[in-house]
Amino acid sequence: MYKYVLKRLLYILPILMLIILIVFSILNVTPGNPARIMLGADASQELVDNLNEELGLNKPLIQRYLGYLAGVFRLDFGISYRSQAPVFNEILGNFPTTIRLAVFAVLTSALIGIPLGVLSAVRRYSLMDMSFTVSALVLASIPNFWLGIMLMLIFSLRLGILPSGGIGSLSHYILPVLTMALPSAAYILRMTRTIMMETMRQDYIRTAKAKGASPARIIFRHALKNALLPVLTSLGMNFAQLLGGTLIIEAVFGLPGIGSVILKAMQMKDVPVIMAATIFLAVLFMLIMLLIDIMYAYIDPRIKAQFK
Amino acid sequence: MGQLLNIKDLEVVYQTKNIVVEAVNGINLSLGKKETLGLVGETGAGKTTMALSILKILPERTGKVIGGSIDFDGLPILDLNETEMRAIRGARISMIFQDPMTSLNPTLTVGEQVEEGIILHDTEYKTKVEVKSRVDEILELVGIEPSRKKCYPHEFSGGMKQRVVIAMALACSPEVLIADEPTTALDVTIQAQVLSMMDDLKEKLGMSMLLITHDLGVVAKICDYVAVMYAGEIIEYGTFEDFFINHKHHPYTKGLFGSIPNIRDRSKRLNPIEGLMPDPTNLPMGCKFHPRCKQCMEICKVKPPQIYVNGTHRVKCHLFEKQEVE
Amino acid sequence: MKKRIAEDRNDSQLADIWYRFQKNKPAVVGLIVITLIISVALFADVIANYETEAIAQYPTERLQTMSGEHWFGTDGYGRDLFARIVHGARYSLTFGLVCSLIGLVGGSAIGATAAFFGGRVDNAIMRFIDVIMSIPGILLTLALIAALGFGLKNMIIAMSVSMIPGFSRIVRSQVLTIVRQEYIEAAKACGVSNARIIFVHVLPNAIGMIIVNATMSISGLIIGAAGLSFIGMGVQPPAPEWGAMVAESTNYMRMYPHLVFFPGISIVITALSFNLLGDGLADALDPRMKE
Repeated sequence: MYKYVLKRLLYILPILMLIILIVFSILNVTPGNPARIMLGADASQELVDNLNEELGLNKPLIQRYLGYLAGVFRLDFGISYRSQAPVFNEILGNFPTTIRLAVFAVLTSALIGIPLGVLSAVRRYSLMDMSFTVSALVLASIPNFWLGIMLMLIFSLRLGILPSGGIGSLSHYILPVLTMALPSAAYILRMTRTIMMETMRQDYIRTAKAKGASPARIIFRHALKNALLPVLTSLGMNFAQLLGGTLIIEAVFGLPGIGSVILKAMQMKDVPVIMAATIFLAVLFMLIMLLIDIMYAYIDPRIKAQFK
Repeated sequence: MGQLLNIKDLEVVYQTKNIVVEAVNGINLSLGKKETLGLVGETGAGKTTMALSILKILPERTGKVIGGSIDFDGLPILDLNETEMRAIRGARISMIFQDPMTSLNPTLTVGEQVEEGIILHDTEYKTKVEVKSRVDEILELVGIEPSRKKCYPHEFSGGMKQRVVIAMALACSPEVLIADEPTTALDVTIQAQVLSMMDDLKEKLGMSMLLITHDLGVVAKICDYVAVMYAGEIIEYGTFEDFFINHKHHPYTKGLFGSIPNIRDRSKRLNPIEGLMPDPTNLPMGCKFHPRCKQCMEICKVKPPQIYVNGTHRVKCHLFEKQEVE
Repeated sequence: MKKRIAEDRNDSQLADIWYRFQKNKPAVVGLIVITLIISVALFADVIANYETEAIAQYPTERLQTMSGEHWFGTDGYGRDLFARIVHGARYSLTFGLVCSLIGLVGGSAIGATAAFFGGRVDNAIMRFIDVIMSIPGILLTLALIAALGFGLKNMIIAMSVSMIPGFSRIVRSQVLTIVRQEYIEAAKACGVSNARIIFVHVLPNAIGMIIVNATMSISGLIIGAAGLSFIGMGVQPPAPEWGAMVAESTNYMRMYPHLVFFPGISIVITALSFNLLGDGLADALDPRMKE
């Protein structure tokens, strides 16, 4: 099994290098002038040229990319144009908030979406199933920032039972996590329903029925494990969406995560910070996908067998 | 009667929004203790549908029994509730499905799947050790090394998978085994192996067997009785002798014999039945076989034939009316 | 004669699709609402003057609630909320329709190329797209905006480009499933030319699912654009973009919740309509999808 994990970890490396290349190219091809941003409009051209020289910004793109890449592997993401501090430190402080938010949201959405999806498939075309379908469709059409604002309006401004923003206690996470989790849960519910219905049509389900297994046993012992594999994949795919969502949700609830770092950096054209934050989130996403692949191998004996 | 399984006037339909498929149209069949009945017919004749209705596992939303009765050892199957049915499924009546590749759950070990029936039903094997030894015993019976029970289905070949499926069906020593084309999905060489094994086991365990097939060769090997099914009806029924020694048959049955290649008879070409099975949403008037029948008469197009009995031999065809009189 | 038969077949196919579509009532409602919103966007200037009603500030009339004069009330600058929402429809529809169209064209080109050439070309293109897709979409858009600079044009470019990888994947898989079907094999065996196979057999069969996906993507784009404007990275105030309007009013929402409610619900209704339409098209174009 560890061989499989190792192989997948090694597989991440070239992808990571490509991601960095893509992000690096996007942010460096257009000739913004970082030295000018750092020194301000009043600085003399000589000073700007000197700083450009010092930062190595006048070298060719590919050379700068390789230099940056070398830095990344030493966890050196450069210096923030704005604060002049190492980017890595700046991001590291904000990372836990985002991770917590994303992980809570993914867990919540799975805990809501998968059981309700199974229920919806088992009682398909019932009133409950139909109402789930409608809610899922509506939730897929609500912008997350507005959902956050509406939840905030109801639960903190009107009812006053939950804090409206900032961090502190665990209760501060409830509204942002719910805001992120509800639409994902709706999506996962739909996926689970479809996959579960497909699974229930399989021949081995009929075999189990012919053996005299009860409906509950058929669902939990025979169908769920098989259905879980594709559900896991959709959960992983949904995670990218969720991570992007933190950006906006952090803004709504005033949470100090990676999202707020990126937004601040965007306003300042602080390219090293934007780049590092993007890379961080992409790596996080890839690690989650890796985790899902490992779970996949754990559940599916056919995959496990290849790495015995 | 004294038969183990009696099916009377069974009618089954599949219903979707705007289509009604008449899959089984008034079938009468019975199966005695330790007998083997071969049910022969083309794909779509309603053989599997009939088998599924005996276990009451027709597709939930669409399949529906609309008439008739099924009697199993004094139990009115169609009137039993789900809980009572579950006690019969797998314990007293077992089923082997056509495709062993898809009939096994890919995420459970072979051992787990074989023992499931034993655990679910009230058998003589109560403790874990007893269940384990029963699983070993039954696997050995079908020719699988008991040490392989920790393997998953994907680690088995097609023939071995079908042995696992058979082991699952036999685990609780059922009284009736329904085998739905058990050898169709297998290689020809494996087919013979599996078939003779099933025949042996049937004798050894004293089961009755309903063998569904489209292969008259299979029937000739192991069946005591034969029923030929066409468009949801039994058109000919009789003993092994009636079929393979006598030569008076329903035109459809003759056609089935004509479709088998004969090694000794080199000059003759195959003589298949022309045309296709009628559309079950729109069955023809009169005899359902008449559009394909080479001996079709005017009466066949308007009046459904009755059943003509001659000893154990029963045929549903207008041609037999005169012979009956003789 | 031959041509006529072909036309007849197309006509009846379209009629079939329409017949199945109009039986799906929610989808019909979606289509009607979309038609309404498009008309509102087209005739926005007739309904309310952009400069005097949607942009100009009237400090004496600020923060009014719903009334006969101001249907949706007025915002913190005394601007009529209804007028702003009417003009805001133009932004949302532009983003939704234009970006999905550009994304679709780009994605079709890339996806079809990958599918037709197969082998190494396919592999290289798809791996590259996999990599891009492991960057969350909104981050990719933001990085592009950071590179290109703010502004309506750049925002459209950034969002369209971010759509391309997803569309490439869909188009590729659609084309591949069709190319692998037996009737394509049969056509090839009959000596039909490649171009004819692509245009007569592959494209008409792939186009359905591609249209469905494009329709479904519109709601995501409308929501995404509103989100970007909400965090200040999209359309800049005082332009009446719905997401930006919500952001502008968050300060007042405790006392005047209608200020965040109306622009928000406009986004929801528009997005929902496109989702319903997409759903209906999916069912109408491919009846097998339904159980």
